[in-house]
Amino acid sequence: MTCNDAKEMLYEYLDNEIDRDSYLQIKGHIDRCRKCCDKFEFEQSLKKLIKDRSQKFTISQTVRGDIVKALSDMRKARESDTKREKEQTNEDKSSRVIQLFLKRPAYALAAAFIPFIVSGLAVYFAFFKPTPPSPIIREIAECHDQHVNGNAVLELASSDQNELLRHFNKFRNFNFAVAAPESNDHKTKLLGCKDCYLVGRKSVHVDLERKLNRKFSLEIIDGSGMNINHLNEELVDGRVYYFGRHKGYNVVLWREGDTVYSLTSEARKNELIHVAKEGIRMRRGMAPQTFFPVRE
Amino acid sequence: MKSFGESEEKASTLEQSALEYMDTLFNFAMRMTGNREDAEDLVQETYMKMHRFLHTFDEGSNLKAWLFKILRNTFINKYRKKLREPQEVHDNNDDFSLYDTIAGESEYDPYGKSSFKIEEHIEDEVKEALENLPLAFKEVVFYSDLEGLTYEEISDVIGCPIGTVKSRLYRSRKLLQKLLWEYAKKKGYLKGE
Ligand SMILES: [Zn+2]
Ligand SMILES: [Zn+2]
Repeated sequence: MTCNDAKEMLYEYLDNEIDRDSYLQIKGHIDRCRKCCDKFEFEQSLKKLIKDRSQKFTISQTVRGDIVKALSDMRKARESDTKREKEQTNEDKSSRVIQLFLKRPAYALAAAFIPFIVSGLAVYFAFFKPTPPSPIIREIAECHDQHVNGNAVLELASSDQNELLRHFNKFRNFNFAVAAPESNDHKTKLLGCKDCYLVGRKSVHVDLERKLNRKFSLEIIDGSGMNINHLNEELVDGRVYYFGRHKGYNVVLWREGDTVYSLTSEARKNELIHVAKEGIRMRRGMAPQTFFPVRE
Repeated sequence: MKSFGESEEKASTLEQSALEYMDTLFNFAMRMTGNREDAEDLVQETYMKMHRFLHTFDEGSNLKAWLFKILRNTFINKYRKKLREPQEVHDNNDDFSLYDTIAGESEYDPYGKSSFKIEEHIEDEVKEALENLPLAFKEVVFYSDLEGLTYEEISDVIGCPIGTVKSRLYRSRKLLQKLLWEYAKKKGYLKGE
């Protein structure tokens, strides 16, 4: 081992990222070579110094208390939720099976003679739990459908960014943050926008078009006090996306402060999340109370 | 159901362990945001996400690294920061070595009798130098030197191959040494030219 060989492995050695053989080789060289020994010791103490002398911040006791409490509350809520849900589904299942038998005596007869139908039904009820779409998903999907197949008319039909920006000024006095969206890649084109109401809330509806003439709807919804936590959720790059499906459309939602966004189309959920992340960005500085992140 | 109680218990234990990293996470958040308010928000959000996505945590892996990853990605999404390596710093500093510089520029004789004790010469400069590293550099130095994550764990947190982790750490350290040298020289601890 030469000094250069040792030097090349310096950091891996100090970071404890080498196998035993290399470790011994380097160790052997350092023990014999004064020059390398000094250098390695210097780097070692520098590494330690950086750890010891760097600033250590500690979180305030108030925030610490808030977090601990929030977690314990959520845990309790989750425990009682699961318990309640379990009791309920057990009840539901048995009463539904009984009702079914009462309504259809033939089933009961068949079941009496062919027991495996019963086990089949039990499996059916255990695994097939029909869930009606939540109102917000339904309304978003229906609004999208109106824009794709129906006769919804945009207030401003334009792909011109400046025109859109000007038009978005009128949404400035909404009490939730409305910033004009922009296309962030060459595949996404903005078609225009209009006022919209969803589950009794104000929203701005934006039509988008992606490759293959696929239409997307972006809704910017007043989400203050609105609960979307009951929807299915997924963590993608640190952001929580909620989703649902209705009328053959997928809906993906996410939250930014008091504003809830949704993106809807026939595309798969993952593509929707991709468009949400990469295809559009929000132009900052439109509304005074805007929460939108800065993209640099 | 037995399994429910068991997984509930496991989740509780994990959450308890995660709470022990609160100051560590805050420390990291402070370095990324530079102010208490944003850092506190980030830590809160990290714990909320942890709670909801605990079932996706791979138990064989490092909980601390997983929490860093959530915090880091929340930070990126929230502030739309890019944690890419700055290109322009590459050219000048790649070969800078504080040791060689000190040996070359000061009166210190590296081959003399006593070993050079860096800690006698550099103190507060560490804070300043670390603070002034570009974010992409700051974070890898933080993971490795301050928090002792392995290259593999860092590679998972920042979503880059191990080779990138190594070279980024290398460059970060070179730049850090250069900054340390400059600050120390400015304050006259070291005799430069
Ligand atoms: Zn040597
Ligand atoms: Zn609409």
